[in-house]
Amino acid sequence: MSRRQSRRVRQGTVYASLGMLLVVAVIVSAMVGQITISPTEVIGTFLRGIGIDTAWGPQSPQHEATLWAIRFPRVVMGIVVGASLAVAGAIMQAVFGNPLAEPGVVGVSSGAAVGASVSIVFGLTAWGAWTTPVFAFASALITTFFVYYFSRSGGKSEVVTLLLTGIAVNAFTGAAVAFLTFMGSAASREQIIFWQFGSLNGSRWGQAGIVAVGCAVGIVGALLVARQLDLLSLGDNSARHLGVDVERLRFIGIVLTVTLVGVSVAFVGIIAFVGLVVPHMMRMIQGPSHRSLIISSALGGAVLLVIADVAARTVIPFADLPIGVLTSIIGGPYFFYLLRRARRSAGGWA
Amino acid sequence: MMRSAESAAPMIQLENVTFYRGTRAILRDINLSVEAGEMVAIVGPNGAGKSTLLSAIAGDVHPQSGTVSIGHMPIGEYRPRPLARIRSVLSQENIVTFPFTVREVVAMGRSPWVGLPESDEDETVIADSIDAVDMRYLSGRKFVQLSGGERARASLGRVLAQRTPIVLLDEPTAALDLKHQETALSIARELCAAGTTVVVVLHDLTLAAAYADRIAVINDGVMDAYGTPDEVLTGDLLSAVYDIPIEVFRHPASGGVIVQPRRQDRQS
Repeated sequence: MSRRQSRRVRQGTVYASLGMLLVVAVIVSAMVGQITISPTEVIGTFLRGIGIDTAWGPQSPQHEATLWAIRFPRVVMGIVVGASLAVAGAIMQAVFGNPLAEPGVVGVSSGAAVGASVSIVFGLTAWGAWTTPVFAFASALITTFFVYYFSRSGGKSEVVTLLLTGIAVNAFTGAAVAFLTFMGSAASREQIIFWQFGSLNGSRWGQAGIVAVGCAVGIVGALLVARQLDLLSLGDNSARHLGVDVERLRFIGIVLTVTLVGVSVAFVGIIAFVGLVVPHMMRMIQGPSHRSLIISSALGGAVLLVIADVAARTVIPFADLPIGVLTSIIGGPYFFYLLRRARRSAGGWA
Repeated sequence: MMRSAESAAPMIQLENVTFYRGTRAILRDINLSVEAGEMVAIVGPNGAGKSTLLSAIAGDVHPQSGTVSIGHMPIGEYRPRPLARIRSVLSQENIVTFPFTVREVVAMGRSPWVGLPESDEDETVIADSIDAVDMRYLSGRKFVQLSGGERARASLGRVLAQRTPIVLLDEPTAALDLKHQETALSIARELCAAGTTVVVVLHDLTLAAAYADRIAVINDGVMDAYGTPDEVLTGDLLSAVYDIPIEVFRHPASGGVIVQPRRQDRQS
């Protein structure tokens, strides 16, 4: 039993550290901007907002308004999008049986962008505020199933096939988005271009709420199938021999991935590599078991994106650097590193 | 040999099983029945259909005609999880995608029992299974860092941890050294003694003769012979099946069957 206990302690430490990092990142993120607000004021304003008055309350109505109307929704958006993308990456890697699978790399994110662009360019509002997410979700679903069936054979996906499929899918969806951009009005063009970079700028409570719902559904669903995802790493046949309904699990995994990615992409655009970097780092810290991997990836993804958002707002003075650009600048080289390692350890490209 | 009343019906029964891949018949009209506590070896040349036969018993491939029953029920009527509590399978290829440790891989063998009373014994079963395949000194090692033989042993440990009444092994000794070949088949023998039914695909006919109760000889999708080692392992039959002159003789001390191709004298 001591083995189990020590594992629990280690995992608890990982969760607690990530949780504390997240709190610090959130406070820092709420502090910085055109007007700098002190950390105590951030905490006090938050507490007052949820009905607890402290000595640290907001020092001016302007500060309070800035925090609640602009910075808090943006921070919350960063948390839920980061968690969504990281968990989606972890699920996708399990489903594809390949640690290099990532929503951005295989083209799921850009697939979602096509649907979202369609709804924007044609001004579709059939489901109100949910129209764009619904379109993003649907086209992400189609893209993901396409990539899945195209790149798998014999229970696993080869790196080469996966990446080539990703290139082809990204090329096609890129062209589709470009065509829609060309067709669209000036306003919708701006909106589409904003996505391709990815940004948390202008996040509103309603949007963050919708992403949070998708995020919660995705994470709970992933935790329910976590143990089966572990078994999938033995390959299709062995997983089946251990009682996993492999096809059903794959289907669930893909739907969860698409829920997480599709809804995020619909509001903040394409933010690549979070789903690659975070699960990989968490596997190094606390092992590949999916139950803990999903929880720590959610926390780690939230931390990473909140920090990246702070960087996006401060690296270039008086400008809001698109966060997607930032994650790709860091994530791209990391991907190369993983690719080299995968090639060496597999003794080839398999 | 007398069998107890409860195992009157065979644990594994194949009737007129025929399986095509495309237009090619891989298995033709196979009949096989294995009793509880019995160990059956499937032997035959490369590409004869041995692994496919094992897959049919495991429920991985679905024959176009004929029936496969295990544990007294047609295999198609099982849901995946109950089926995993009846039969475990050791495949030829043992891959693990992520850096799971040996212990974690063996522990995966317990997953069909999650939420059932049997899962109370998980820790003991896992430890026993690791010890049985002589992997305790490697239990903290990552599976992907193991050699081929160590992977095979760790995977056998996973199969043992599943604790099923039927165990199917596809060439469990292929990557193993002599000591661990003997260990693996001795483990299978012990399982049989405890009432488990074992079907094992083997290439080494001497090993098959030493450990199996009965041997099924498969050639080109057809079962050429099925019987005790003494009945089946004859020079004439094996020479015909393997298309090479084969001698069968007995060990001078133990009387055990030894099978060997007739070789040219290398002296001179």
